[in-house]
Amino acid sequence: MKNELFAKIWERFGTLIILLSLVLIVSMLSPYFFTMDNLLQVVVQSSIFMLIGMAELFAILTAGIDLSVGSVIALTGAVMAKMMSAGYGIFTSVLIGGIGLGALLGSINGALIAFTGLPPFIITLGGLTIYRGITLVVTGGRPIYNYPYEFNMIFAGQWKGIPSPIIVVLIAGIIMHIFLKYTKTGRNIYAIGGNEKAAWLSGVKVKTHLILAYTMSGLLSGVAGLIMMSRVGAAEPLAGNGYELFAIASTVIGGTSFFGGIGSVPGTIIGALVIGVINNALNILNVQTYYQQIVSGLVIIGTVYANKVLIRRGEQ
Amino acid sequence: MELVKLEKIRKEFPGVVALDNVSFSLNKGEIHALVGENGAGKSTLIKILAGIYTPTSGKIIVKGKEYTHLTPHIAQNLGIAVVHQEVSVIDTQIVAEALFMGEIAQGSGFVNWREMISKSEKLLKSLGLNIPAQKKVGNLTIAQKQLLEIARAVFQNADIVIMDEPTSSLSEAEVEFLFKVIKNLKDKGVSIIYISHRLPEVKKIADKVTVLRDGKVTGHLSRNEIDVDKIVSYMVGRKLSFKYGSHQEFRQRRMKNRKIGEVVLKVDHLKSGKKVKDVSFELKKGEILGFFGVIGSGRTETLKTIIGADKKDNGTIVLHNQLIKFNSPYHSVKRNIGFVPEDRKDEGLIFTLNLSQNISLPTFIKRSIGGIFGWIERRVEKKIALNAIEKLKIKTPTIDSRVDTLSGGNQQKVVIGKWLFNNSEILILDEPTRGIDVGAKEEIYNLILDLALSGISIIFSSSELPEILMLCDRVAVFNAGRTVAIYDVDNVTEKEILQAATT
Repeated sequence: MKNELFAKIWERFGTLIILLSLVLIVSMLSPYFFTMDNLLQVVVQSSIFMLIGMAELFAILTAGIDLSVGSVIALTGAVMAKMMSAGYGIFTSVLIGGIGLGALLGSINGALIAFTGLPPFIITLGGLTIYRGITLVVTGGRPIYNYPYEFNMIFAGQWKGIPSPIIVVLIAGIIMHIFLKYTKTGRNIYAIGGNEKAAWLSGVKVKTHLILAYTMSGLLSGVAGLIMMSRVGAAEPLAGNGYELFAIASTVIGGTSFFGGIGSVPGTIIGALVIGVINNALNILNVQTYYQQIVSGLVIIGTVYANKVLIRRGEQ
Repeated sequence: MELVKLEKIRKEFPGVVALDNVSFSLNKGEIHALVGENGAGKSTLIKILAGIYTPTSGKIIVKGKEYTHLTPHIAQNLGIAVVHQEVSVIDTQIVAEALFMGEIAQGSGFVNWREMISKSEKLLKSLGLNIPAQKKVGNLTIAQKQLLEIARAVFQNADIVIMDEPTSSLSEAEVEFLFKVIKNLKDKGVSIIYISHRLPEVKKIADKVTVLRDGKVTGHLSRNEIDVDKIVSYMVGRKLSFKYGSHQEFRQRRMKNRKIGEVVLKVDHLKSGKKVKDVSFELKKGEILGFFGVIGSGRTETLKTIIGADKKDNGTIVLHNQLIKFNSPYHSVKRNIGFVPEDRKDEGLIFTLNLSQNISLPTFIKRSIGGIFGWIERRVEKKIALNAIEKLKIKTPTIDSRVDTLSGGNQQKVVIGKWLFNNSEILILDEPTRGIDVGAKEEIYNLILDLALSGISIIFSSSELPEILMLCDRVAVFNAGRTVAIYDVDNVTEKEILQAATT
């Protein structure tokens, strides 16, 4: 019976346990880690991973995947910068060039996946390359700096002492969490990932929900794009390059199953923090950057393996 | 000689005792049937023998050696093989590959195709199976796939073969053939544990019968004692409301006060794909219309075309005097047509959702609460689930339990339960009692009758003639994709129906 109880606890709190264990270990290894300033830094630095982790969550929940998140970050950033430098207001640029464009790019992926039946891996791989290509065209291969500085102050600054990225993630996270867990549409997305055929025969409009899931993914990537731009201070042509891996890692560490139908926003956020903590710790401990990737990779594999073994053992 | 002996086996799961003090023994060359309602513990017992589960307590003695538990590896080395109910062969392989599964590399590391094929042909021939070794598995019939699985077990030198519902997808002729193969194996010294709900078959083939109920052994019969009614009473522990196999009494008692009304659904010359060639029938309000035919006769494909899951090539479907064109099941669900698919695991249940989430899914598709981002009211979800659990007597620890640990019969009840709250006008059931025990079958029959009495029109598709004769008002007989006859069940003989279906 002990195995079952342990499995249940791990299922709900596994990722959190991993995070807290890491925090504990690193605190013991370095006195610079567990300070208010540093911890806040960790959270802020993880904010982009949290957003694209949530983006990836939507795609993987449907038993798919979105490889284009990094490119969407870059393209939305570039378009927003161009719009602002052309005279459009910050609000308009964010709404249309950031969130709106992200949603549009995502919906294109979703529509192609839903109507051609081609594997999401392939379609979003196309998205990754094409959207990056468009970004290079729009930016001319160079970073765009000339947009109002206010933008950076709003989105990379603070509001009543709380860093803006954290506020953005909180708002996005709460909305998406409620959406996924408490609405029929969210439930349908889980159903499709769990068993697309059964969901379809039960009356779920599969195509519509697939498009919606990828639209959400694009939308969240667009939000990540604006955070990224504000923190860097420019819209870079190679922004977010390779970030799809961090997105996938965040949500998988957070308990999302590659087979679809299992995963959550809180889990994903904690998963992103795990990666953030690791990166931060390796920096503080002066470990070379090369090792950072190795460590991250090991943590991902370790977590997923732990999930499998511990939850499986409980079922025996 | 005692080949296998299970002594005082106990198996506990969270919240339930699956097996309690179960003892079981299998002699060499014996065909020992294991029967019991779904949830009685049969598949738990089998999984313990196959090394998938570990007993909480008790002894396993195989070929003289004692174990506290087995693993799949040990079980295989001991010569234990399981032929599953749901055929699990890989469609893209050829027959020879399927037989050799796991043993392909020979010595040099390259695949020796010629040897594989000749060895396969020899084996298949020795078992009397007329299957070409080079044929693609995907092109075999379900019956042939089943026989292939048995051949594979024999090939791996299994001398203890466990067969789980081997005849559930087979026609009568194929069952006869299977029995010949089984007797052949028995002569070769192979011992067989035979699990089945089809009691007349058990009577035909078994040397011994062990009956389980609620995790305990309630009966043990040897060859000359085997009697279907006795087995049923051990299985169920109560008197059934119908005598097994005799439907007249059931019909008389339950079929009064039936009001059958106007035509609600009219299908004319339906054509779809290769399987549905020319189907026409009418469904009246409050009626139970049977679809009967051998496996592959096009019933499932017809039903799927009607609900919009398959594409209609030709023909008309008229619902309440309105010509309809369903592009997807979403539309038929919205129009209050419920569909219980043939394969509950693959098409009926979503294992990552819990019981109440599964049951409430179609209802939430319909109820317009708040539009596309409609809120899920937990209160409503609970109501839907409790309603289904009560009406169908679904055995489950809580309303939010997982569905993969439920017994087959209970899983089927969950799938049917999806449509109960829905104001369904038409309920379509495709082989709803396949692989389900007598007790649960009875509950489902009663439910279907209650639904019909309340005015719901029902299409009941089955390849088991007795239940069609018992439950249906009229029956549409399918033969190779066509509806060849539609009979009034009270005015036709079994022979006529069978003839229409098979010639």
